[in-house]
Amino acid sequence: MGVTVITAHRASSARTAPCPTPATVDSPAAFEPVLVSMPQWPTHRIADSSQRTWLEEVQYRIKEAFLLSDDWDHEGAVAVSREAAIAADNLAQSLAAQHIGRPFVSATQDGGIGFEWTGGRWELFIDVLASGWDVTVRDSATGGVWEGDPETFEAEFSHALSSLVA
Amino acid sequence: MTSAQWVSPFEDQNDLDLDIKVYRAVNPGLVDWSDTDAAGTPKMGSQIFQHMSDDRATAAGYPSSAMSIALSHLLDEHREGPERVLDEFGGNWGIAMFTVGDVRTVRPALGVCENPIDGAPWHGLVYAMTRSRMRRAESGALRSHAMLIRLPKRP
Repeated sequence: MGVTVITAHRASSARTAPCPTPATVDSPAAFEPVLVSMPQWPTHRIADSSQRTWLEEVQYRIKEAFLLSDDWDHEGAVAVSREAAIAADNLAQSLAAQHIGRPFVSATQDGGIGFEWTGGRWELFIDVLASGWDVTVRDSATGGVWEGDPETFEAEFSHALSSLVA
Repeated sequence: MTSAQWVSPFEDQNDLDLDIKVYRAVNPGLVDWSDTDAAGTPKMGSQIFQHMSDDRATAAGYPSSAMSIALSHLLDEHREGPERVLDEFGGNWGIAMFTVGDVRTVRPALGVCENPIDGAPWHGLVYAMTRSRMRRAESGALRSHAMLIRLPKRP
């Protein structure tokens, strides 16, 4: 279907937090340095969703998640890291450019940003952390689960993404 | 820790009636207000269903992390309702409900146990049995079974 499979890599050093970049299946990209400037997020919620692309909405949610304090969930969550927020914004832009359907985006307990698509047969969860991605694909019809580094289950990851193209 | 190595320190109560209702507090920020059904009920995010942090579990004296819940049969014993699951949260939080039977269908497997605590004798725990904490696979499965019985207040 022509969907670019986004690959990410675990950071080799805990002191750096590379931003994953979209890549084709045949030519995965190398790490790139973390951006030093924050994205230009929307500064206000656009009330009428018909006038708002999902990218703008997701970017707003990323910004809101980034502004949460420690223990935002009352169960010990840590605040979203700058590196995760930037990587999440990059991912959102890449997904929107490929016409992937709108994800639900929220902060994760461990300082990342979670993207999820649920309700259909193929459910996809991408947790963007400072150290890389954690991906889960779930086939709700069979109960099949693939999780971790998406390079180890590229076919299922690609299939799940393709099923989400709007 | 791999599933081959992990042994949960909690003891699963596999004799709990499958019809027992399980209640979970819902953070208003973890529901999708842009995706609502005909009645205006927002879609829940899977992150509603996850363990407390490891630090929080340690501070609470647990041997490992788990997800806090309230159990209906214990609430009934104390003539209390599901709203008691919100005791430690704000009035703008919601309540999700699923059953012990739903928990038993999740893979990788989850355990359920009563865990009465001071001020909350209806408290219980749901936890990953084959690894140290639930991940998206389990959270997503619980999300698919749960329903919102009290809407959180929109931020």
